[in-house]
Amino acid sequence: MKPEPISIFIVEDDAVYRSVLAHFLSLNPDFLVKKFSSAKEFLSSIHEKPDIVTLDYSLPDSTGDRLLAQVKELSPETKVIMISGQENIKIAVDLFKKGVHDYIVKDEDAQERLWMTICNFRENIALKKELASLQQEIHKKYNFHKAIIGNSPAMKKVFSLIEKAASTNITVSITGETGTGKDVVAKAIHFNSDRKKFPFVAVNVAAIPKDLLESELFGHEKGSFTGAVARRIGKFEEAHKGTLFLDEISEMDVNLQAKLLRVLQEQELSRVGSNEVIKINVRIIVATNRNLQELVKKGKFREDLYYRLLGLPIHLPPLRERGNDVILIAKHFLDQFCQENNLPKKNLDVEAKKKLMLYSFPGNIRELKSIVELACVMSDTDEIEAEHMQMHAQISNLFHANDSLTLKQFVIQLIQHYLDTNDYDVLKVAKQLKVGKSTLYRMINNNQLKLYRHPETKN
Amino acid sequence: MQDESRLYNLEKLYEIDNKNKEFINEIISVFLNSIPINAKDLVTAADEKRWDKVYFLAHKMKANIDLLNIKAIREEIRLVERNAKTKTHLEQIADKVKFINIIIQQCAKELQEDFAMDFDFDPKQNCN
Repeated sequence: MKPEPISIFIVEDDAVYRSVLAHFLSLNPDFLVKKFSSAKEFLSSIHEKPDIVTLDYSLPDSTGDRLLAQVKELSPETKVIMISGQENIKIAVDLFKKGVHDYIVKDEDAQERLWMTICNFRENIALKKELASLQQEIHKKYNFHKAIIGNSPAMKKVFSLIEKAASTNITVSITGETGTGKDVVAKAIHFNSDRKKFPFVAVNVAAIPKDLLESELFGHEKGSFTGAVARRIGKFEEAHKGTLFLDEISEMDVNLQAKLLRVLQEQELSRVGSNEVIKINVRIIVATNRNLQELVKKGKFREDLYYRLLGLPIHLPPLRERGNDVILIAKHFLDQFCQENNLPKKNLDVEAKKKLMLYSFPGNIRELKSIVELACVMSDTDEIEAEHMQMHAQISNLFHANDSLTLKQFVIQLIQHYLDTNDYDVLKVAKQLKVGKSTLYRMINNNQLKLYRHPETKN
Repeated sequence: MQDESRLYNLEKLYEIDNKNKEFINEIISVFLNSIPINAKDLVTAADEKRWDKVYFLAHKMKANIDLLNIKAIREEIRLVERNAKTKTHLEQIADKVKFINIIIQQCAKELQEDFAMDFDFDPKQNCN
């Protein structure tokens, strides 16, 4: 990447020295140099907010420290390098206290030192610029009407809840099937709230071994357990003033739930192995694809924590309940994929749209994305047809809704799946599954199996 | 270019950018347009005993004199600057500034000869 040019103003009344400095600095093509012979001239251009300004300490119409104060006020981001003909430690110390970034004496190697100083600043300036542009980008990205696509009534309700959540500090609990975009919603809330300048920290509770989760969340002191070789701050502290997103909260160990509850109630924590109490200021967003209420009933999730975390519940509807949004989102992924891969723009034809609308999307948006991307690769023209779209993992359809099937229910679903995908040819299925055909007929007679075409498998 | 018979020496300018003739010409031109006048002003200010102005001018000229390495007045310009600032041994200043002026005007003449260019500069105007 080409480095961003740096604008440098040179304020120097001595014409020769001004020209020498300007020429010397403009030897670097990335330095955009402007010359000023007086404080007045310089101040009339300060609104351009240069990255760096070099000030001569003794100008006919102002002094270095007066001008420094003006720069600090009018363009606080500008770095100030004072150049003086006199080596005066007292003045130098005084200037540093007032916020000058460097003090260079006009002598043999003044130019060299100036060059070095500017090169050092440069990295700093580049990083700051990058940070600013990234912050802007993130803000744009999570402008939630762009981040989350949807016009369906179900999603409109979600939008209004996100807006409500963003304007307050209330704890938010997001529920929804896998792949419905719970993390996107969490980010949208954070980046549209007053906390957006502070960190957004995401922890996937299920992804961290339960023994490590405690120190991951709350941090630990050196030596608090085997392997704790250094002090480590936890995710709660990392997210100070920002948002902590606890994904798959249902997977949290019951013992740890008690500690989490205490931390949330007291708004303070102590690191593992420490007695020091640390105040925290963190907005909590939790997400789960399981029914917490059910888990509470089964004693797998603490009831008190459940109520503490419930806050503002946002339920994300599965993709199949979002109507036309499927097409909107598919188009979005299509454009995105084509752009990222330098492909010409592609469109979905009518049959393809129909196929998408009929499909149940057990994997929701994540699945839609992969279907669209694959279709994009499979199609050789700018049209995407139904045949380019491969709806994978029908079988996972069996599991997604209920995760507590009895063996018998499972067997029935499995056979039904085979019937669905084999044109309801009972003999063929019986052969494939190595069961007697009479068994299947008996189940059909008992209305356990159905002999009709399931809408999802229509071609 | 490093002619020992000359009062000045451009080595420092070449160190900054030795490939660029235009740059050297520009600096010489700026020098000729400002420093000989400054030197005259310095004499006038000393005559009028305006020591703050003497200090200010000497201070500004010092960097230029160093840049063109005009050795003959290297110490003199510092002495003038120091004495005018601290207001001590002011009686030494008058002679020194006259000497500085003579050297600067001579130096300007040499530069004018060595760089026969169309400068906006009339050497007669600045010579006494």
